[in-house]
Amino acid sequence: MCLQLAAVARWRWASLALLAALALPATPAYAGQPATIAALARLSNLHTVSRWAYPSSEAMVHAHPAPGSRVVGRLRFLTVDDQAELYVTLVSARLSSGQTWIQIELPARPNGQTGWVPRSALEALHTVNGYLLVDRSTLRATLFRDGHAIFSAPIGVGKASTVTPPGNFYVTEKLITLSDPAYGPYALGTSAYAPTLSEWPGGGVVGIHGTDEPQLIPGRPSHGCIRMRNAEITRLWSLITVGTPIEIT
Amino acid sequence: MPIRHNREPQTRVPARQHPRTRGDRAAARRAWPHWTVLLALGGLALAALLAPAGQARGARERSPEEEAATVAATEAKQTEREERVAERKAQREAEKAAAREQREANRGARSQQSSSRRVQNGSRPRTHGDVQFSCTGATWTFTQFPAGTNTVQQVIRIYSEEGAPPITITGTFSFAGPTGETTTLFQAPPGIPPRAYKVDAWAKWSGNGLKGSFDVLGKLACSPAPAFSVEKLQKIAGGSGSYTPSPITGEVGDTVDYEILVKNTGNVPLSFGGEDVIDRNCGTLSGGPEAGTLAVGAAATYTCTHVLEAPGPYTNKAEVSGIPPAGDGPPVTHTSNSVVVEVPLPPTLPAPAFTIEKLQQIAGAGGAYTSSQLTALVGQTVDYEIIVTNTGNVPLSLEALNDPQCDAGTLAGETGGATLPAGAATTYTCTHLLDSADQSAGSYANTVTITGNPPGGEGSPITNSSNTVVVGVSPTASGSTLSSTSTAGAIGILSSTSRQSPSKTGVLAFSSATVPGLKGPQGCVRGDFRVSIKAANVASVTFYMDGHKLRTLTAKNAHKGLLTLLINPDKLKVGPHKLTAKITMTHTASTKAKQGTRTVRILRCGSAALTPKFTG
Repeated sequence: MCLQLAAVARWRWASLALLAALALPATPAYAGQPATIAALARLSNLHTVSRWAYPSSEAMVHAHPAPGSRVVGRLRFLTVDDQAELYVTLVSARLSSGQTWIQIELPARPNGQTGWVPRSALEALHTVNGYLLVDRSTLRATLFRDGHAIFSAPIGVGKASTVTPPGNFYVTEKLITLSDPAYGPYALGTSAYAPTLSEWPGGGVVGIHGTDEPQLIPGRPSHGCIRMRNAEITRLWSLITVGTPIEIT
Repeated sequence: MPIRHNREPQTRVPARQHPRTRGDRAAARRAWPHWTVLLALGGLALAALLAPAGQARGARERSPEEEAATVAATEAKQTEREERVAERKAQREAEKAAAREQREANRGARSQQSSSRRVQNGSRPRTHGDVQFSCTGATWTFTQFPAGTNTVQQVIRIYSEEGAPPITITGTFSFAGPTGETTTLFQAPPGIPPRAYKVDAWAKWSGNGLKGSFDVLGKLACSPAPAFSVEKLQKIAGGSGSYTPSPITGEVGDTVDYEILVKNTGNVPLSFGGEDVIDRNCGTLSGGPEAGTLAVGAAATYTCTHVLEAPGPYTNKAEVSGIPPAGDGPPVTHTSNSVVVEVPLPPTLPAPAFTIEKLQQIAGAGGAYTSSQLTALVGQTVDYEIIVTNTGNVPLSLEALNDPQCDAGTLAGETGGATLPAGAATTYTCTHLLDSADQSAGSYANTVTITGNPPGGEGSPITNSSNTVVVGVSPTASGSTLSSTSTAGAIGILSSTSRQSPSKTGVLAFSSATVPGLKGPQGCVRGDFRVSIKAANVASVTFYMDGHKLRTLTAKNAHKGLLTLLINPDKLKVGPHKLTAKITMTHTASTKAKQGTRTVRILRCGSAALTPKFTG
């Protein structure tokens, strides 16, 4: 499992290197933009070191590290639950012009989008050590830190009609859910969206939360969210920090 | 009437004991008057038969005077007999009255032991002991035993009048003489159902210089007495604690396991239906007595669970009703003890943060530490203070402080691995000896960086840099390098105060001062927060929130080198806001007041306690 994840990370990194080496210097896709990458720096490996930042402005997110490139989204300050939105950073690219751009994961539909923003669009970088692995086949979530599993629990995931989406995501918010027993005592917001529930209030954000139906765990009872027994979401809530990468396999 | 089989005690002290108690005397009287009455009656009958013949013979032989004397003597004897009979009759009446009083007293004592039972007959005291019966047990009293330890063997047989096999209860009782008292309970299994009984209880003893026994028979008529006890216990599921009625502590999300212990303490079976156990603050009940009926003396356990969902005390109790067999009385309802789980408030969201401030002074100059620019000569020593303050709500583990601008070996303080509690501060110190290289550069600037690590799971490591402190460096008065120790006091160190006379010292003017940056919180603000700028060379600063003026601070408001404004965000709408600081720098006669504007974004978030918009 970990080898597979490492392979995914290596593939991402290789893609970026290819982008730096071939696409940008040779293809001035954006007229008037002498966008050549002088240096690339990896900011997150999504396993042991990951960096994230709050936005400093509602800047446009571009497909490539150049202001003239296609806009794929926009930074936002708040999540759908009115918490501080944050962005996991993947790569830093210093251009020949001296400007630095940062590639980020986008918490938006469809899942898996990335984009580039100027360094100035983000505030200070925060570092996270570890990640949460959500295995839909074994119906178990495991939190790793320093390469070691420090927490593991059975989970409930989406049913066949409302699957929990696979991919790389991260924790966007930590919530206390005192009013609705269906979510248990605590909940974690993620950057993942349920593929088939786009009309859901809030856009169909996939959460990790407790439950008032613990007998359904482990299982596939949800609309895409990842459910845990209340004692275990309480434990995970205390261990995990915002910005922690999530891998759903 | 009681049936007695008295075995008189055999002691080493001879002497048959005289009746000492009212009961013994009555028994003795019951034995003795039978003989005296029989003898008296026999004598009277014999006299009646013999009298006519005697009188006839006497009439023939005695003179009238003698006959008159004989008649008088006979009349006197008759009177005396009648008086004795009357006396005995009065004595018997008194004895009967005493016996009645004793029976009443015994009946009163039994009714106190079990007011709901009708004890038809008890026992009467014996010389060395007695036993009283009730439907719940037998109370033994032992008297006139020698000092020291006495051991008594006790046997009780309870015969049902319906011919069922007797119930036998045996025991041994040891006590220190001269008296002892103990109770043998009937309610312990097998117990006695409500009906009429004959009870035979006897005790015997041998040892401690005394040997003897007594045996008492009695009757009991026991009414139905449905009764049970209920106790509630609790523990945190998966925890190390055991079931307890005492308060315990849990967390939101914990499951509490409850046990409801029910024990039949009456003398009839009780049935408990599913609707007869009410526990509103608990989940589905399970367990209980098999087939729903609890035998006399038996116990059963119900279980249920509850998941703690909110902070605060969680109180729980059960109401249980037991139903006796038809005709044995109404249902009995009891409420258990209350058990409490305390659920502490959820933890405050961790917000690690710290500030680092660097101050300086010229050694030996007598001035205070300051973040302002100073001026000194080559050969003088600059003393630095680095103050790290934990401004967050979690402890921080500080990594090793690295300050390459401090001279090697001069760094002191918690130089690595120190844990700084929330709200606490720690101070590092170091020094630097100004040399010709510093003088060539014109000034010596110093900034220090340190990383604070919050506890696992409570945030990311934070790396902050201090303000930069600058010392303008001039050559020595003689043009040669001076050592800091030999010349510091002699050459008149320029302090922050003397900087106000630059013409006399020829040092840097304030015109080089730059407008400081504005520091504010990152991420969400929900409660009071601070924004600050370095106070060095700042004459005043006016803060604006979304264009609305908040307050103006001047240099006199500076604290620890900072101008800080505390802001309550309660009136801010959820979303981003712009906080602007318009800063006016100090000036001298030769420079103009420099002005600048700094802006930070403030993000007012909603509460983190909500119902999320997740797909669920």
